[in-house]
Amino acid sequence: MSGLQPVGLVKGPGETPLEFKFITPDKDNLKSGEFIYYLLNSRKIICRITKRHPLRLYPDLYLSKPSVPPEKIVRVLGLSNREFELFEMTAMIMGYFDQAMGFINPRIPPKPGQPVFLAEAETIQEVLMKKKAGDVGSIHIGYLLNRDEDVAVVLDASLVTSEHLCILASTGSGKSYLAGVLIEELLKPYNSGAVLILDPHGEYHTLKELEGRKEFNSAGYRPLIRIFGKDEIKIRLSELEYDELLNLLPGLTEKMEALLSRAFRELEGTKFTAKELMELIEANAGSDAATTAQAIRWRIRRYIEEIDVIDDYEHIELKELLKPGQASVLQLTELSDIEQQVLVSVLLKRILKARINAEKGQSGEKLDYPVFVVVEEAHRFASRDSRSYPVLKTILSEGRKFGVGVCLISQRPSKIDSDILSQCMTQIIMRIVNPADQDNIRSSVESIGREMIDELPGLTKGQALVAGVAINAPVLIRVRKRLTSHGGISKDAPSEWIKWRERGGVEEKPVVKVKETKLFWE
Amino acid sequence: MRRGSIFENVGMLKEMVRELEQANGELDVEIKGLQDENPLRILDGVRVVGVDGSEFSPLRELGIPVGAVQASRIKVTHGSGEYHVEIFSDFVHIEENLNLKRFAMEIELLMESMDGESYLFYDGSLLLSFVSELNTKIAREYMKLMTKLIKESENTSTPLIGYIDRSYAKDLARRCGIPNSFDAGLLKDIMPVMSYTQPVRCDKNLGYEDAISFSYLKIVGLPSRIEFPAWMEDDIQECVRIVLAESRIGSTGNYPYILERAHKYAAITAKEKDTMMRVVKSSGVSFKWISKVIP
Amino acid sequence: MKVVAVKGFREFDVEGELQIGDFIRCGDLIGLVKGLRIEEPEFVSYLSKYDVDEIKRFMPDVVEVKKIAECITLCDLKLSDPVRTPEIGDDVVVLSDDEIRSLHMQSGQSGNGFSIPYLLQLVDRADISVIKRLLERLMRIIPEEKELLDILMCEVEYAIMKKMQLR
Repeated sequence: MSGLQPVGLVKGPGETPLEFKFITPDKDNLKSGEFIYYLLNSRKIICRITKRHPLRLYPDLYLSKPSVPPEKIVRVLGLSNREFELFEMTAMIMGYFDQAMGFINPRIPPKPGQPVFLAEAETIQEVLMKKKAGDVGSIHIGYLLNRDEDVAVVLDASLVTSEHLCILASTGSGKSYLAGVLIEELLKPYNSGAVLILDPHGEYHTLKELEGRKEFNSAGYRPLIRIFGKDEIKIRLSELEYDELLNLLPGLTEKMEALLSRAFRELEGTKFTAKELMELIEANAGSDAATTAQAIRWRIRRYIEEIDVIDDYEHIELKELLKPGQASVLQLTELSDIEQQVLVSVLLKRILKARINAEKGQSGEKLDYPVFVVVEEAHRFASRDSRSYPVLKTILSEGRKFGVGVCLISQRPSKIDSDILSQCMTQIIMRIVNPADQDNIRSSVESIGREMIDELPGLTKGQALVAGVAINAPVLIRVRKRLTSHGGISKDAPSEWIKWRERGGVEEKPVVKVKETKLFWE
Repeated sequence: MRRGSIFENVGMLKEMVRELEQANGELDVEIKGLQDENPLRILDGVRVVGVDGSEFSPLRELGIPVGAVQASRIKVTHGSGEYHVEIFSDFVHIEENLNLKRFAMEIELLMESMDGESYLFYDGSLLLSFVSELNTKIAREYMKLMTKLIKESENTSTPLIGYIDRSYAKDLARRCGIPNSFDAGLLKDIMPVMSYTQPVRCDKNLGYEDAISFSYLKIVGLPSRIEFPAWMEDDIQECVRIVLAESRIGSTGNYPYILERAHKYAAITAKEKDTMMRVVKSSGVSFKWISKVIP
Repeated sequence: MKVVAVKGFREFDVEGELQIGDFIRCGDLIGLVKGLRIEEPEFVSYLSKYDVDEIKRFMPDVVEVKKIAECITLCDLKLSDPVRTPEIGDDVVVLSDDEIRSLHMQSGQSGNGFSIPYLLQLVDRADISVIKRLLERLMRIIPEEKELLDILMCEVEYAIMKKMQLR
């Protein structure tokens, strides 16, 4: 593909002042989403193809029998079979690119008859990407979807991590694979990120493989992947905020709340246990309110002692979880929804607080470097009725100031509160079929035009739309191949049934296995 | 010579015509009336044959001495729906005498039809009065053909009728000493509608004419003349009935159907003439060359 | 049979017993019979005197009618567009099924490609029923292309059907 040869000629203006139409006989090369340019005062005015409309349609008659190709009818009627196909393409003018100003619309549409050129790979890279692959602070996420040649699509890591990212896609379109690519990039030597992954489905343990891969090692740098299982994820009861505690205990009467509040205030600042809390409540209650205290005690037993992540003694240290050059995978697999929400809420609040402490030089737990948190199944944590909603909302709106970046991954974007979604300034959207989800994306994500939204149902596994601050213009990509294997694949029920029968119906020894199956390209 | 145009002197013409037709009463001829019969009843089962010919020499002016003759024969058995039409043609050098060639073809067609049963109709006179103006060799040829035809008619007892629609023959007029007049003109007012004159034997002139007799037949208007071999005189009434019936079924009611049709088939159409002209032109042969090659 | 009139670049008349949809050859031209008519017979001038039956019995030759087939030039022997008209007097022969078949199967490099290049022209020039008949005929003669011809036939029938629409 060379830019020297024009691919079409301008027909005239389109429906909006930013659009124009051109005609191309090109059958294969020009796709919707492709980048082209016309020349204005020898400047390349970059445009994106938004529509592809065949001009010469076969009359319905020619298409009436699937077994008879229309070309044959054309031939039988004695017409030559040459170049019937002409396409009218609609292109959106993006403008010429200025390093300082971004895209500048020249406000002069191309003249009818003017040639249109296919944008060369270098032009696209220069104009669309803020970084080159391998640069410090670059995320090489994939390649331009429309090109057969590999035109790398590179995001700006600093903008991705500070201004938040969302990955939205229907189930099975490859979103956790893509998140894997993202995390790999963040752990490359040129980023050496501090990444926390909240993994409700146990899909990210395979990242461990990258520790030994040469692509990740350089001059003394070796990334570390830590996997935290259920037993290692602990929050000390005394670390809970009063509100969080209150949240955990449903149906408290005013009397109960007063007793609880009093006891909590008295114990605040000490490393108290649940038993100590209950004893103090009972003591404070005396005989007058013995039944009330009894009721609280029952609730604490039921809702706090039963919750494994809340522990009297153990506590995860943030510095263990978050370090540059380290990704920590919290496997939430065996936790209940409430446990997960409480954990996320408490953890994120601590992280934000630690960053604020560090930035403002306050006392208390500190994290001296920005961090990036990947939240899988984000709709569970970011819907309005979730216990983790308030803290997520705070982080999404204020985290950028303090270096707490979040990546929200979800297959149900419509369940994510749009206040939260609209704070993700970089969006990677894969195949979305559900109209409610499309609507939510349309209303929360301003940078994506309607014509790009329309592309979403047509994307296949491993293809994505990337938009937002980390790239100069929205592009369609094919996600690059992961260096580590993909942990999240669907269960193959029949083969497991067969395996079970072959074992003679005996239970398999629980062995944690890293599946080597790969999702794409093989 | 009179002063004035024809227009001014047209009165004199009228006078002359009246004179021609007024010499009546003195003709020595017997007129017989005919019954008004249904012509279809008369003709039912009667076989008639009509022969006619035509010629075309369009190329004489162009210097190409080639001409075309065409003759037709139609046989109809009235009442049966059976008929047979044949058309014959030939191309001849002008020097061969187009007219004689046509005559020979017509005679041949008639000869072939002598079956002792059919009534043969010939469009024209059996008397070859014009041959006296031709050179003797050609004149002899004509007479030889006609004599043979008359003989064959008699030998095979096949009725042969030469039909002359508008005859200016003067046989009767001359015999009565009115040579400026003509028979049909004189008979027009004498003969009643649907009548005929008894046969009169022709005057011997070139030698064969005494074998031919003639009658006039009046349907309406000017009488037509019919000529036939003398042997038919005895049965003339039957013959005249058939000619009358044949004439009445014709499209005009005054001309034999069988000759009307024969004429139609023999006529060389404008389209045929065009085609001939095109053939000559497209043959690529120069006209001069043709006129040299053909003596 | 002969050509008796040439009425235009593609239209000519042939005198003779032909049927609608007959393929005819006239020199190197291929034509199709698209209409039939009878030239006014001579017996009408006798009708005032006799009835038709009497005319048939007594004047049989005038009953003979001239049958004229109105023909359209489709193509030449190579299926190309015609570049000349037939001429008056040209001999006309009717094509047999085998000849029709080989005419239509001669295109393509291998020489056995099916093609009816004249059809588009014919749509404008002939009655739709003639086209229908033509397609039926081709289906019978070239059964292996029936599926394709069916498509064309469907469109023809649809066009006929649309004429029935009430407004």
